[in-house]
Amino acid sequence: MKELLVEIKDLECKIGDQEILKGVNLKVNKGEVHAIMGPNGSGKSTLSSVLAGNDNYEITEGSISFLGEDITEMSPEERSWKGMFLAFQYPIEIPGVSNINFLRTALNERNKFFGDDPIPAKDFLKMVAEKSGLVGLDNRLKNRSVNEGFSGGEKKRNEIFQMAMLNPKLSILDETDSGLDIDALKTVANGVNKLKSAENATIVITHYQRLLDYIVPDFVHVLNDGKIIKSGDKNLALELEKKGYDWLTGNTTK
Amino acid sequence: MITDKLIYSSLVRGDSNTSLDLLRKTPFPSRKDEQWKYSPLKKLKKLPFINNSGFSVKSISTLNLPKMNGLILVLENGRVNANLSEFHKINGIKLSFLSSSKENDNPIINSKKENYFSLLNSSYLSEGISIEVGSGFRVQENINIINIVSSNDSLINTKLDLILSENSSIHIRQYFLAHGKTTNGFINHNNNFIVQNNAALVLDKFQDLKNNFHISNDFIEQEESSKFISNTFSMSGLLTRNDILNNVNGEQCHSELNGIFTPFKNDHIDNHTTINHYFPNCKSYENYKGIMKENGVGVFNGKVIVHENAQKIEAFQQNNNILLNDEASIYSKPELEIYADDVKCSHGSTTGQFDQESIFYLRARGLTLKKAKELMILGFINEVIQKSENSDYIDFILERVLEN
Amino acid sequence: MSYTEKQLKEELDNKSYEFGFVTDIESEKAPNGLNKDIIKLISTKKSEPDWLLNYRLKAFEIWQTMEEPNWAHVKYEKPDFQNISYYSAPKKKKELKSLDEVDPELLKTMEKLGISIEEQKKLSGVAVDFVMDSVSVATSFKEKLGELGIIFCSFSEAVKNHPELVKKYMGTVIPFTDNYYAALNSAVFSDGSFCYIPKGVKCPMELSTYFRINESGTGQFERTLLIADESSYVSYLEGCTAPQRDENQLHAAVVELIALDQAEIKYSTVQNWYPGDDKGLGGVYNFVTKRGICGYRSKISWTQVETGSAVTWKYPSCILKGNFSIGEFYSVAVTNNFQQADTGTKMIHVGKNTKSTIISKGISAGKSQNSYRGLVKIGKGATNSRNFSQCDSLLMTDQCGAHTFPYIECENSSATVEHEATTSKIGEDQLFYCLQRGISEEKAISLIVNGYAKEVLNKLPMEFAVEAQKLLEISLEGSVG
Repeated sequence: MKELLVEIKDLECKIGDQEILKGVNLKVNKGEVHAIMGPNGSGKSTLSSVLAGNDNYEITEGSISFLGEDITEMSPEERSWKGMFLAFQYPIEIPGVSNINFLRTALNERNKFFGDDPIPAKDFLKMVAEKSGLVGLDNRLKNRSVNEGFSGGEKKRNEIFQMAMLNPKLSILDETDSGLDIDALKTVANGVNKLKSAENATIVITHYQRLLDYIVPDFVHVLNDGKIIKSGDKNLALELEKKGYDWLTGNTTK
Repeated sequence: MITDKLIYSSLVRGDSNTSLDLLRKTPFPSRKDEQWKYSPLKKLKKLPFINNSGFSVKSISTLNLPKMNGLILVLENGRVNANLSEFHKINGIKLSFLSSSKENDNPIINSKKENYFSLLNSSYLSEGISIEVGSGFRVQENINIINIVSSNDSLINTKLDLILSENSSIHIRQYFLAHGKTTNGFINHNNNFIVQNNAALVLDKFQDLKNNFHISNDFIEQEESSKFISNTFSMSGLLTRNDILNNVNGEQCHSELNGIFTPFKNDHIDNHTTINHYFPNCKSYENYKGIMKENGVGVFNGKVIVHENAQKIEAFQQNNNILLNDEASIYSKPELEIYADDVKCSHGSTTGQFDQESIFYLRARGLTLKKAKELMILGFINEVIQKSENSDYIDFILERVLEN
Repeated sequence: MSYTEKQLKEELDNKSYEFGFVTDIESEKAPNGLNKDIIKLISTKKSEPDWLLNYRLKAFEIWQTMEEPNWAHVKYEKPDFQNISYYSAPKKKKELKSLDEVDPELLKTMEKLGISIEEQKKLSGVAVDFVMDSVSVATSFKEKLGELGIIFCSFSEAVKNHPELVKKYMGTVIPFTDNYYAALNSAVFSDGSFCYIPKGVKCPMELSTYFRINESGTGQFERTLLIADESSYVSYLEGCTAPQRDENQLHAAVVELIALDQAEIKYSTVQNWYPGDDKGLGGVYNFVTKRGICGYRSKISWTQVETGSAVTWKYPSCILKGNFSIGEFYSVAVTNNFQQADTGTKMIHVGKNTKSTIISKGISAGKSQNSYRGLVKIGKGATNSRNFSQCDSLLMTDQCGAHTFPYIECENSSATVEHEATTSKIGEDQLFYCLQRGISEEKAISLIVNGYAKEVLNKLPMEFAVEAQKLLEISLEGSVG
């Protein structure tokens, strides 16, 4: 029997007066990879932000549960401590704060939450060396300020590096493929695959099928106008690649 | 004090009596006032100003101005010189001279600026022009106003009141000039503008008053979704000072203050600007370029105030200066006062000389030193000069800048 | 003989002096108010030479003709200068028997700063057995300095033991005519620090007031004079990172630095005097005049972290007189609640090929007002001089203010002056990014602010930097609602 990791029920949300999600339902079990696809403006990135707890969006209906616990009202940091990770579409720059310091603070805050001791410097550095190899993150980037002056590819690698360090139960990859050339895409996908286990799950949000050649999904969902309008296996992605979204959305103006 | 020495034959209209009361209570500014810290006022204070209403400019072509379209209104020594003016009716515009208009004819705007010179102006007004642009009129013709001093030691108090009704637009060009060998004259001018909802005003000011004094107090009030662009080109003057107060009283406004100033030999050019953001979601841009030569002195004091609750303001302020001679000076003071948190504001100021490497590069490509410098000056001011859009006018400004 | 108005006045003055003097003997404290006799009293009590008394009296005369400046972007109730006592003998603080008697707020803050229990006791005035220890540290420290010919002592000691140096340099950088508070300080200064580094000596350790014995009771009108002779080097730390609750409302210190040819002075300050409570009551007024003068190829570097005081008015400055001299100013100023700070620097370029750098980072929270005010002046003779200024402001709430008032005066065409400033609010996206990675909001703010201020914090000596970081964290506690 598969263990349920996250369950989204009838989720509706808005930003300002604008409704974005209009009733999303989704179940993700441990060990699964789900892809969420959809045209621009369908609400994909909003869904990832809402899952991570960004309070710019107001949840008007429905709930999110994570490992059996209702997290709809939970703060973003607590979700993070409990194992949720969002790889941002546009990773944020934090001038003057080194990547290393940033990650150590993150790990120690989590340890504090669980009543554990801070991670010893030696272990931490060992872990950094091990995990950065996974995505081929240039050594000098680790000591630079978080994402500041990184190229698009470097930022995305850094996200996956952080994911490896924090070892989440649920990883949400928001358009991680955007702005990557094919080599960088392979490296990033390779990193994600290595982190995959029977204990964790991944939600891949993407516009194109390309990334799914490398991170093969168990399920593919199509999000349109704030709702999942079709679900299937990986073949659905291929079909979408061929036909586009219009045959599903009923938009025939093209 | 200049007011004591002169018997004025001025227009008495509007608020001149109240102004006079206030003027009497206002001391003549001194360098101790923060606002006048860098301005040379001693000479202005001592001069025995007189009133002179005679005309001596024979033809407008002697002034070497660019080609003008639209109305041409010439004021000489504070009086309308009808022979030089070209006047016709323009649809949607109500225009009158204060000297010939009746009470309640055209609206008079009382400036909210109350400093010594704006009060001096409203107390002893020589002549004023009042313009009202009707709602929805997008006026294609320019209004050119030429303000000349042609008689030594004369004090001239002029003003322009302008109301742009909703959805209207207009382009005004003002010229402030000293004629021939005139010295120690003083054009003390007030501009009072109200730009109503969704209206757009472009103001070009050209100032060339070698050996004379000129102060322009500009007060602009903007309402919602309006646009105001001011381009000030100050070539020369014993003391040329622009005091701009731009109040933004509505959301979604665009305000832009640009300027080029080129003081040389004994010149002092002063630019004081204040932009008050009282409402959220507005943008303001300020860009002043100074080229100081010989013993010319330039001053830039720009202030942007973002008041409480005026969130989402974007305000950018820039002042770049070039000093061409060792005797030249620049005093630059770009200020930001911010009382709201969700804003993007920045300012910058640079002062330096032309990059010798670049000059060498140009000369190595066969340009003379003079040409190379000209090209560098052009590059330096280009960004601001292009704001004028009209190629005749741009050429005219460029020529005058390079002449200096 | 007729009795003139003048004589009457003199007699009245003398009477009050007599009265004051008598009271003084009894209580070791001068009566409130300021007049010539009080100044004479201060000078006599300190057994000062005549020249110093005359200096004080001249300063007082000038001060009387001056007006309290009001150009700064701060609002406060002007102190009543006649309601302040200008002299009290160094008296022992009330000894407390155990830490239980100390204000728990104070202890909490010290704990956060990582100050040891013993140190906590000492700083809060609890009797400590370990005092001897600290004296011995200070003594061995002094011995070592003595070997190198470095003089480091209280200002009063310097007046006694090195009058020639004090007389030669005092008031040469900041004459008493300079400004209102400098004049006041010159008239009534209580004590302070004196430091002289001989020719060619590189001071091997950071000099800190912490190690100077005899520093109690330096009070509100402190005076520091620091002379680095030719080709010498010194790094000086001022300030106390422990949050002492000082009862003095007004602080008007004067700090003069003299860097002779090819010398270098690094002066670091961490200031966290009582800022008043979260309702804006109480707090210190900090009106300080700090200035240094540079000789040929010398360098003065000011670094400050300002988190305390209700009102701050402070512009550590450099006069770059010598050719090729360098001035630097690195500042972090944090204001929270109702604090007001108007701070910055003046870089006066006089010599040729002089260079200055200004990095200022303002952080405003609560309902505070934080202003940068700075002057860069390139004089006529300062050929080929350079300045670069960067002044950034960070806003934490919608009720605080951040202001920038740079004055740039350039009178030489070969100079290059660049000024940049930005004002922005703390990034919501940055905060969310940190939260998503499991970093709590308070921690995230401290991380972001420390990153923002890093350029300046890096300039502080190591041990100071750590405490400064913690101070920033404490000052901004609960600043984002």
